[in-house]
Amino acid sequence: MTSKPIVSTKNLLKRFKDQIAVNNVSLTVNPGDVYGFLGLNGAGKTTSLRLLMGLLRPDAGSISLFAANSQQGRRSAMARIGAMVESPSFYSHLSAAKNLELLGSLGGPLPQGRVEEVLDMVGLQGVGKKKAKHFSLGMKQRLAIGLALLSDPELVVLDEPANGLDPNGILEMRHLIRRLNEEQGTTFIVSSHLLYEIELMCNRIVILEKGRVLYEGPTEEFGRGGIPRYRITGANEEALERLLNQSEEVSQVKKATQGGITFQCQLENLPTVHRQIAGAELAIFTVEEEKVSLEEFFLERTGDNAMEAKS
Amino acid sequence: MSQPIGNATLRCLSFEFRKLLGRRLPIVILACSILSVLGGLWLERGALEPASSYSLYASLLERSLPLAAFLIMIMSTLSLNEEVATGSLRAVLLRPVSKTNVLGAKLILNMGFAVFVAAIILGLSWLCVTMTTGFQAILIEVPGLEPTIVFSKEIMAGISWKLSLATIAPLVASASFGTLISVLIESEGTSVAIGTFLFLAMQAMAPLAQDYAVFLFPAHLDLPIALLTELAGQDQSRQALVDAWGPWSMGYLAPFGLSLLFAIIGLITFNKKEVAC
Repeated sequence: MTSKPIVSTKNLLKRFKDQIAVNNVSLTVNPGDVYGFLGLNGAGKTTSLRLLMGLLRPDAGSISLFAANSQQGRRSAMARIGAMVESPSFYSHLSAAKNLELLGSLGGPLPQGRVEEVLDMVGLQGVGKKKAKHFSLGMKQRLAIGLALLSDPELVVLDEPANGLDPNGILEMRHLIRRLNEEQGTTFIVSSHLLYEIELMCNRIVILEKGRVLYEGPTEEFGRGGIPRYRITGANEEALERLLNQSEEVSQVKKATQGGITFQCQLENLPTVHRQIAGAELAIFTVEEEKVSLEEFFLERTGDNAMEAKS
Repeated sequence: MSQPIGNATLRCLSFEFRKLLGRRLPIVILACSILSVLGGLWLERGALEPASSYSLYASLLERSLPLAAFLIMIMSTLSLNEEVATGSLRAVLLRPVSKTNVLGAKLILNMGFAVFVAAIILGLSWLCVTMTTGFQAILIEVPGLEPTIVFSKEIMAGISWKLSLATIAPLVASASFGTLISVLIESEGTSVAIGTFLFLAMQAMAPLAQDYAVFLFPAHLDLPIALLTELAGQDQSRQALVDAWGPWSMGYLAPFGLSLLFAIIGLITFNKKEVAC
């Protein structure tokens, strides 16, 4: 089944005075995705989310939400979206439940008992009557996530949802996102600088650096440029390295820090490489596909030294 | 499917109203307004006699309405930028409402609150006078002669209401003006300071503005009250001025026109502006 993207942007550009915060960003979020925005502080994650949610106007490029790109269309699209962008903010003189009830009512009447249900969902059961000004950062964060989920939206946008949450809270939040995604098909856009969280939660990611897209696509495929990477261990690794360097089927041959040699090779060429090794009578112990961690890829791509080396 | 703009504005209005109920500032404004009327009555306690009923009424309005207009302006001045500062406006703008809906609701609520406060002050002042001196006809009493009626009780009732209602428009303009400042200036302290300065400056400039004084809405508040005081002083020559205060006169329309102008400028600016929330 082909379905239209829920969110798509094309060549999005946003400047603040002389500084370009978002530079030529194009991305696509499909229904059912858990889409991760990854980047260092100041990479343009929050600005991109603010642009998507209409809190900022792009200087160039286009944004489409639920196939609508006009201002009027934005308002009806927002009825299908729940969002938390930047730090959670509420009316401090009102209770948690009243904040949810009032802010939720802006989207239309809420079903009976929905506020209590959502408070329960985000672990704030029993504190609904407490005024928001007495909430800790973690509780405000939970309340903000609750507000985003209140209208049972098709798309939920969460900007750094793990901020202020304790390890248990982070785990609960991740389970909640997975559950809603799997059971109700809710699409999520989650920004974070916690690589591990993004890797565990998201099926698609965009990695931003200085406002530019470094990578956009499936989480599983990032950093490999489509060519699988393998790690091989054997009795004579120096000879193995020499042989692999000479092989035309192989590229990116490196000594692995944990031992063995890593190399990139198309799957269909792997038997040829095997034959070359066997022909050279080199004993091999293991050959395994190596999954590049998001952290490795991220640090490699966003590190200044790496960037300089590439340029 | 897009929703009609009216529905979203009504939702915003209901939201703003319910939010307002939990705030202290409107209660403070109401309390100050009521206390200023009752305080005025207490200060005038030595001159409570039927002949001074209209002077008393004008005096009560004079003490309470300018204060109310100022406080309403301050409340409105904080209505938007306070939410920008706390970030709660962001939570609102992430709901399916437009900036026009949000500011439109704030404008309607602020102006509606101004009308409510004006009604409280006018009603309470009227009640105070009715219960103390009672409203009487305005007479010229010459010793040895029958008192001459300058303005009958019925005529004065009509005049009083006409001039009283004319004080509502400047209060509404104060609310609209405050809301515009709130849109233009993001810092709460600066917006209150600038609002206060402009409010006082308009009052001070009124004597210089002459025919254009109707556009200086804080000073314009004093005009109908002063007229009522002059009538109470048996000044028949002012009758012509009273007659000029019709529903379509500049005295009525100028502050309402200003309110509308402030609202339109506010809406356009807010829509064009990128709110740092």
